[in-house]
Amino acid sequence: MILLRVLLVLVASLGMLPLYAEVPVPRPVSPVIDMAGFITPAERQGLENELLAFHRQHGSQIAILIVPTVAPETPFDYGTRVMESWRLGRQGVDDGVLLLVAVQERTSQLLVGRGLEGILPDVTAKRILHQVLSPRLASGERAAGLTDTIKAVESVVLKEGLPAPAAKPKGKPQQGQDYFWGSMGLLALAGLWRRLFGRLAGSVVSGSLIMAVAYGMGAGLMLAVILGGAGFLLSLVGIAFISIGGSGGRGGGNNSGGWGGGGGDYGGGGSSDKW
Amino acid sequence: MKQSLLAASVLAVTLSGCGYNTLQQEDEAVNGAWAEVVNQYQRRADLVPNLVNTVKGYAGHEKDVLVQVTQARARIGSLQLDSSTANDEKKLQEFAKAQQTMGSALSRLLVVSENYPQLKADAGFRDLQAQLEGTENRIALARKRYITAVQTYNTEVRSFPTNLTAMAFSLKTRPNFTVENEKAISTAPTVNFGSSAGSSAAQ
Repeated sequence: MILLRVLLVLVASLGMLPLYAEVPVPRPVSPVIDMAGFITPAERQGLENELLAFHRQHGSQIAILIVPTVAPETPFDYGTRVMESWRLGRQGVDDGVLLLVAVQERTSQLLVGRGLEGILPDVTAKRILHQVLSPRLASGERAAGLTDTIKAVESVVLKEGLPAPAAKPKGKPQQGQDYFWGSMGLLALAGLWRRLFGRLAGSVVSGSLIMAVAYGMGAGLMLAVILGGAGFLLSLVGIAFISIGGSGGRGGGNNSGGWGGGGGDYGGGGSSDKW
Repeated sequence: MKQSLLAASVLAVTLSGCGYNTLQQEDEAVNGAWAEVVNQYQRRADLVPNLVNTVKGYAGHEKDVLVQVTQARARIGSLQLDSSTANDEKKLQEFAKAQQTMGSALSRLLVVSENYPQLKADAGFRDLQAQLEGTENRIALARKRYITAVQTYNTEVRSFPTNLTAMAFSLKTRPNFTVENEKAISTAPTVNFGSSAGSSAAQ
């Protein structure tokens, strides 16, 4: 009986295998992800520096993803899943481009965000792939091909006259995080004040401390008051669980030097080519 | 005054609580997805005259395929498209079928054009091919998003308790592209080169 059950489970899991056979979408940790060992780490680093610099300077997100294979999907279907997951490009500007290289299929696919479909139409995408990338890949000059392709895409994107990257958010979120985490740290101490001064007075102490520190660390007066008030209330209600759970909140895609998924929309633009 | 204000706010709270707003949002999302589908199909239809002319220049005697494409294009042009198309099961299927015919006629045209090296080398034709590929991709994506949007909306209309709200405001489930014709679209048409004369005689 048990044997039969084990067998059944085995058969069932075998039947489910094809469902999970799709190539998973990696996390957007870097503008250049090479899962196929297609280029050397040094070459990858060079491309990454180039694309990160472009992103910082102009705002648009151009990424390269190299996978061994996209089977059983087509490069377009897989690339679409990647684009829908990463959402390359800025929200509302939709200026993301993904260059997908499927090594076994010997196919490259350029996926163009909605905001760039005008300046980088399918025909242009096809020409870039067909005239710049494919000949180089065919002759084995992989890194050079990818670099030239990226340069070609970048020069086209620059013609669009997209809005410059917002300069302020660069410094502000950093500061914002500073005072946020400062407040969080103080909140963790709230238990101490409560023990020392009693529930109400202790909460008042943590609230005002948080307010003062947040203001000192660059939060606006309003924000500092709000943070302080929130700290007071949390302390009053009891925050034993928050001081533990608070540190888990850090997330978001913007790690690795300002790279991560964006908010760009993708509508199926781009082209593909074989080499 | 105070009472009507109270009544309005109570109504607002209950309506948003019972999913009326969600239904409206999802219905609007379906409309948006539908507009995109129509848009992308229109884009493909707009490519046809150019494509036909280019192919004619090199492969004028492939009349069958060219005529098929032109006819499919004419049929799509004659379809009355308005907001009711997406709400009427029959009209939607008719629309889907016409577009499907167009799609297979176009891919047949591309397969036939493989036999003409000069045509394939033509820069204009290559550009058209790239545009067509991109358009087919966009159509596939727009259809996929439409199907998902309709599914979300229909689920909301059918689920409890929002189904009561839907009933009260006579919001009905919306027709979707069927899996059946989805399958037909994703299957490449088979073309027999050996007996092209025979098959054209048969038609």
